[in-house]
Amino acid sequence: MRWLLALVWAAAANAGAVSGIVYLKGKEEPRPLPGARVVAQAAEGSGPLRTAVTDVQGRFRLDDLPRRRIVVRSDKPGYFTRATASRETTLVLDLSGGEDLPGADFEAAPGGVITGRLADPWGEPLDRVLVMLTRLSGPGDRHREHASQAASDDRGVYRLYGLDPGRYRLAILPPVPEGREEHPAPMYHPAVLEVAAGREVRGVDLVVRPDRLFQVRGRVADPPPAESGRLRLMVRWVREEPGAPSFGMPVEPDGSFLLPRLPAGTYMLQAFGSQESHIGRQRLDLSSDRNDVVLRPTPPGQLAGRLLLVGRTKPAEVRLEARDSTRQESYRLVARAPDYRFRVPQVWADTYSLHADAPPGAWVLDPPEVVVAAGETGEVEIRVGTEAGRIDGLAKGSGGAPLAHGRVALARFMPDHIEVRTEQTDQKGRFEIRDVRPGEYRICVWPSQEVSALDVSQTWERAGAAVKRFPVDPGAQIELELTAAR
Amino acid sequence: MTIVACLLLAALAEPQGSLRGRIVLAETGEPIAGVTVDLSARIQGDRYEQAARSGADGDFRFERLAAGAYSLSARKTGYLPMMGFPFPVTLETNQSRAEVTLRFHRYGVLSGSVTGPDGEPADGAEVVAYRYRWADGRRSRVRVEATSADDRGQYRLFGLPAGNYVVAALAPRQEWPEGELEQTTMVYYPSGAQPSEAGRIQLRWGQELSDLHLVLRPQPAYSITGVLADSQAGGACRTCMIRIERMEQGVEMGVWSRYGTRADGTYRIQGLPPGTYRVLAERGDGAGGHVAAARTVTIGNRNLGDVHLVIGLNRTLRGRLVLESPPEGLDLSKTTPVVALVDGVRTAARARADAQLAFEAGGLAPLVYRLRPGGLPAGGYFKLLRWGGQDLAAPEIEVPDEGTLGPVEVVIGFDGATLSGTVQPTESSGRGHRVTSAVVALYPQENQSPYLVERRVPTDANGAFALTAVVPGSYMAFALPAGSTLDWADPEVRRQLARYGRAVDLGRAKQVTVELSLAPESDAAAQ
Repeated sequence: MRWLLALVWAAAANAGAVSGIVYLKGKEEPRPLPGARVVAQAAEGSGPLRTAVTDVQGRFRLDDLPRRRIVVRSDKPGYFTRATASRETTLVLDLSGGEDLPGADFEAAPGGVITGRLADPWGEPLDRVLVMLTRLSGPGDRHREHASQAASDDRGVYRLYGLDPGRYRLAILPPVPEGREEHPAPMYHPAVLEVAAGREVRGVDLVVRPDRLFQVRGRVADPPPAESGRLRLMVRWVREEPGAPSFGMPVEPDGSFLLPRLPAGTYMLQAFGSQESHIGRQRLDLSSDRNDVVLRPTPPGQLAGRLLLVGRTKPAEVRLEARDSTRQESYRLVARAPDYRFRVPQVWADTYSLHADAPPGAWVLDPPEVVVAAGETGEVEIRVGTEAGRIDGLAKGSGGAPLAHGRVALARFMPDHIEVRTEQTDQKGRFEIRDVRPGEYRICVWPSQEVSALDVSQTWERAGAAVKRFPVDPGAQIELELTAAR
Repeated sequence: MTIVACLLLAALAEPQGSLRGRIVLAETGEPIAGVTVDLSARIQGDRYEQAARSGADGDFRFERLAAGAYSLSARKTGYLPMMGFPFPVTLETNQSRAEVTLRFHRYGVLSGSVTGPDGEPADGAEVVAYRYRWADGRRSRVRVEATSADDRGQYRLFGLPAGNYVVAALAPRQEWPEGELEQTTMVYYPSGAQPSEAGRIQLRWGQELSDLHLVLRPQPAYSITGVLADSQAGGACRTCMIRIERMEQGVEMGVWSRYGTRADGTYRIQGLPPGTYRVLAERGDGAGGHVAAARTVTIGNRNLGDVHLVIGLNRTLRGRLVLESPPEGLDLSKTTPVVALVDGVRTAARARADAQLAFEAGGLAPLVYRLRPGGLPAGGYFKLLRWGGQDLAAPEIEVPDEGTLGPVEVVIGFDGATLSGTVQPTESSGRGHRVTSAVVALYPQENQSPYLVERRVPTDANGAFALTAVVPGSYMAFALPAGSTLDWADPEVRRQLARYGRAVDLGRAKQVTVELSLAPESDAAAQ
């Protein structure tokens, strides 16, 4: 009986519904797009609440949704989809009153295309070469994520399609002839490729010239006798671009090693013993054949200590990431309540920059970096802020009515760039921004037309009086009312 | 003066060996340009490497080579070398070699487009090229190459050896709302959803067949559900995989897909069009591909439930070898017969016979196994399988879930036939082929007893061969050139090339002598 009651209660608690049509917008009249997926997620949290697939008329309906703010998105492989109301990939909706919202329509456009041909310096096509596409975003294109990949055919032709509009870099991993021990470098197309919605960028050809590769011989000096014959070498390429290869290989029982042939560059060689014990580390700047590389034992240090939490919030667990100077390796520091101690027993002697991973809204106050000396056994204290602020608000149009599906941007002006976070207003014009680190902020809302270049100060200057400036203190709960910029 | 002397010495010391060669198309002898040729050697501990490219005349050359044992390899996109690489080449001091000819095949290409019923490009549709393989007189289908249609619906299957192909397209996987009729869209070229409707596409070396257009039409599809239980563990098998194979007229069509089971042992396979399927359970113990249970089911126009499978029954088959009229003084001390049990094309168990010729094969699942005795005493052949005094029509045993299994008698006869003879070269067998490298293959004629098996023997230096202890029956004999690219196990291929074969009737204890002509090496040569 109690079980039955629980069911009834659950049905009453979940009452919202969202429905709409997904259209295909191409050169011709828009028409329904069947087989597109539509997913509802909670505005906070990650797992999908409900999933639907459009029928032959392009219709979908998401029933029995919880009474809360949700985010709806639609996707179909090969298409770029956005909500008609918000002009963004997501649609934020407030179902706290158990609303039944029809008309949550989406528009899909065929994605962009990048195509070209791969050949060797003599014009011979290169087949089955993996072409990788990285999407660039954020200030200075610093944020990079894997977007798509394809392989070339027997004519050397590749075709990457279904691309979202944006800026891309293209790279290939040159093929290694069978039986050769080589680790070639990924080769990048020199241009940043701009793809507009549904446009085809042709002729992105690459002539794959084999890199000059160098031979490296070396030895691990004076390894611990117990580890003889069990040493393993990890070779990491120190490079900013994604896809920098790394590989592991065994060390000969006499401590010597011969690396596969490598292109010029900077590498980090790291020798490990059994049970991942840290034996030695050596930076290698390679520009010629080398026969003299010696990895001397470097006693590892430890990265231990405790976190001093600043603020009233005491999360059960705080996680930091400590990134080494090569940016190729990082350690995760996990500190749990009540004493928030952490310990990573073996780390290479290096300078580590600290970043907060979890909970969201946590940040490292000081020190920003920790230096670990060889054989270091000391402890460090790291001050971590956990009490983030929160902004709730209502956006209005210039006529005074609530601005549905407007774009809210929260900006922090840093010395060399602008950090921007965006949120969308729901159908009632309300918005929520959580986990805001204390600091000085500016905020503004724009109607749902596309607003680009939010990381450029002119955009903010043009918005004039619509921009509000305010501080966020630890734990602050700020209520704002904004009027849209024109 | 000193400088001049040094230069002179250097010139004298420079090695003068050279290696020249030519790269040609295997079918026509036309030169192939743009082939990268790599030459490497280890000379006095140092690695020596040099690369060359073939010119318009197909020629390549390496100069100033020291004496040594070199490895040669060559590659070009879209071409398949006929010899294995690395190819050894030895050079004496200052030797010039020029007789190296490398023969390459050019791969074939199948290309075209896939659309939906409305003519819209079916981007993301998977397109697969299959070939049929024959083993033990059973046909199975293997995937040779797969790709997906792009945003224009176009596809290109490349790197294909010459042969007969079947091309199929499968719509990209879609999620369907709960409760809606499931649909699948698999289509065979030229059209039709059933494997029997597939057209046979004959592809020659170097040929590109474009415009192979496929139209995907939704068709109803159904699901199979059931439970996979492990009788030994007394519950679900968490490390097991379910594999489903499409059967067509009792012929295995290849793996449809692989699925894991849920924690409670239940499984669900969706998107299956009507047809006959074999559901196989495999134990995921790392051994890989070990069939632990199987059931054959037919889907009509509804979902199939309760297709339960039990693994871990581990039944044991006992039996013994019975020698029928063995020759006098037969010495068994040096033979150890082994009985292999084959499930489909995989050997599931191997049982060694003891001194009394008894054997025991354990770990068997309730499947049909074919018995394949080997290591038989000289002059003996597998004549008959007997169970409970009955002669079985085929050398197969169906293992039941429960009840008695065996003992079986594996009857070994000594009245087999002998086929001997010689192989003669023919004009169509290609230039410069020595008949010494031929293989004589004996295939049972159609409608012969399932006890008849395919036999092969290489010819000796004089082109002579002899096959003894042949199961009596009617056969076709062929002399195949080594490295033949034709699938001779395919009865269709043999029918087409019957003019190269000889029909032979091999009665009991009969001795037949034939002269065989060497068959062609490839399709192109055959036509």
